[in-house]
Amino acid sequence: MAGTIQVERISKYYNRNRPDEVRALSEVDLTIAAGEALAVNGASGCGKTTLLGLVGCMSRPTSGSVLLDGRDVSRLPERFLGDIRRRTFGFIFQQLNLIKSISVLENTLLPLYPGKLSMKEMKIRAERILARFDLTARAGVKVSRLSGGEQQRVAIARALIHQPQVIIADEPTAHLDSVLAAELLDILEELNREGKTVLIATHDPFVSNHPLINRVIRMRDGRIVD
Amino acid sequence: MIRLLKILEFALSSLARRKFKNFSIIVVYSFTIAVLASVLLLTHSLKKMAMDVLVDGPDIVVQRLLGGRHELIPTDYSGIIEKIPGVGRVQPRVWGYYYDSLNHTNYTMLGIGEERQRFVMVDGKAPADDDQCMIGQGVAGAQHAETGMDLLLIDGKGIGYSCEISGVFKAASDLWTNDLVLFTSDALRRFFAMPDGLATDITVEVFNAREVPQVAQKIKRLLPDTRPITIDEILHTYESIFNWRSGLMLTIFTSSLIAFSILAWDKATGISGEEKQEIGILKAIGWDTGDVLTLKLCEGMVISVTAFLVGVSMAYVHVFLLDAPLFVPVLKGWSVLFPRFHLVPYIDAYQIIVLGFLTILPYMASTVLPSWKAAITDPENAMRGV
Amino acid sequence: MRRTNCFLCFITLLLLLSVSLVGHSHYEKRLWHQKELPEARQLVHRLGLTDFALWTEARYTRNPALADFFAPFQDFPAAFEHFPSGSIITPAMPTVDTRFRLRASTVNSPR
Repeated sequence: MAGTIQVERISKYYNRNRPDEVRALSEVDLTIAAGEALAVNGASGCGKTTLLGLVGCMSRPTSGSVLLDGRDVSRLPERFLGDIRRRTFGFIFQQLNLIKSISVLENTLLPLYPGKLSMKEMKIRAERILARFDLTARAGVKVSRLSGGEQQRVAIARALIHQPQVIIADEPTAHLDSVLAAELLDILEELNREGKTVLIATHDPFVSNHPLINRVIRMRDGRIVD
Repeated sequence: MIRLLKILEFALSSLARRKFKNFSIIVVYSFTIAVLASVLLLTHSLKKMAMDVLVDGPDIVVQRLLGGRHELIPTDYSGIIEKIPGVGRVQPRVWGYYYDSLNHTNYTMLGIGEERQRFVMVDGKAPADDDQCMIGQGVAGAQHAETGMDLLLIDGKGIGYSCEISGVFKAASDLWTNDLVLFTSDALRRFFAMPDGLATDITVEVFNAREVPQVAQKIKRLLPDTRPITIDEILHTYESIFNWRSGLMLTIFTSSLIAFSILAWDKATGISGEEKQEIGILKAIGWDTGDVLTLKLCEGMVISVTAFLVGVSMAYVHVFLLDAPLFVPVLKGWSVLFPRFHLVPYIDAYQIIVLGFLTILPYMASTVLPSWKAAITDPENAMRGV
Repeated sequence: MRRTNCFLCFITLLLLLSVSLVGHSHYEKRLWHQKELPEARQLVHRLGLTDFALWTEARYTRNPALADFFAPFQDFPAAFEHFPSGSIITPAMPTVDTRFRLRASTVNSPR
């Protein structure tokens, strides 16, 4: 099954060779098997988001390499990275990152615009995924008019519309109450059962202890401690 | 292709989201282009019409200069000029200006020679004797006169002079004849109290058009106090009057260009936080820099191409179908008699293309460049909500 | 693709409008060349006209082609222009040709 990620001795520096240089990650090794559900635990500022960004091809490591199904993707040019990002990963952000002034349907469609699908196929997919998350009735409504839980579901629908193999979530429960957080994790568990790899960064014990999670790693100061 | 169409679709929906703002930009932008294009069309058409028609004017006009100023020329000079080989008819002319103090208007008085055949573009006849005259539409309008009525003028000795209007130029010739009053040369000489043996200037016909400069040179050599003005120089005057450096162009062009730069500058510097955030989101969910720039390019193109086409069409309608009502006051200046002209739609494709480049490209650049910076940042920033 | 189709239709309409305006200009030009231009040229030839009757306020604006070099400046080169049309038209500058001719004539003058 596709979706194996190997991280080999990656380091990430910000503001390299400047007085305000920051070392966010140093020499991290990590292997995530396809279909695994992994939680990355640690205090804020320990490098969780940086690690997720590197794994998700959102930025490049200063040294080391990221292998996706055995292929080194960390040195690929931007246009390939965008393509890989779009095809392999679905992101759920802490700040949802929805465009508030457009409708639920349009938000869900956003990742598909640069791809090869026709507008018709895009709409069919969107309808299917909105139905799955009980959003069919809300498709034409502007995101700014939705409740927090509905917005969260739109963000998930958008992350899943291009049928990614790996789902990356950064502090997904930070702004949710316990009911909504449980709902979100149930959805993620269901996706994991379908065979998708799930990678969650969190410092919320509720997430780390959820039955969804197969493995928890802890980070401190840019290193994996156990 | 399908990717481009889809991004265009998204661009249109983003533009539609800020309907009011984008609609106002299109309106202002079209209007600016309409003004610029109107100036170009108007001046180009006037220039071409001058070139078309004035080519058939006199080959050489010989003026006498005294102290750097135009003076009456002795009619004897025509005898000297006639002897130059290649010269056809040489004709001393009597003409001048007349101020009508009742109407506060200036007329151009022109004496015509002995030929008294029918004129084209005239309702009525040419003046058959010294008591008749023929007038342009502007004069007829100012005097409320028509064929068969009398025209009352004050002559050079301060005595009232009345003559019968034998004909009026048709409106189609307004651009050339609007302020004309035609007499026979003898009548006009008497009217101006111009001494015998002198004329206003002398026109010279040259058989071979290529010899005109040589003939002009010979005239200058034989008669050093004269200034021969060749047909080429006359046409050159009209070419330079309506070129881009002339005042009309310069004033309107610069002011609209400044207005346009303010618009572009405002856009270039003011990419809003909202737009920046949107670009971040798009990057984060898998759009690459190229996709974002294509989106911005589409947005800029939709606005600028629409505005350009609307603006140029508006200019065409304004100048050629409505006869440039907005520019007439500018062109008119203090002229009291100003012809109602209908311009021939000469279009210079080169000018329109240059106008397109000068307006579409800066606008596209001012849409794309500020987004560039937002588009090349790492999508990771979006994850951190930066 | 609802919006894209609308937009493309709109642009096509605008282009058609532009094309029809170009057609109109060709038609009008042909009319001018066939009907009015020959008459206007004949008139200009018969009357020996050298200028448009556009600006009637001063000698050099009524007949810019015949105005002497100094006319726009009237008596003093730095004098402010009196007439608005003076800002629209440029003074008739001597062409290179004219200057050459003037110089040649002082050298070869018969006097």
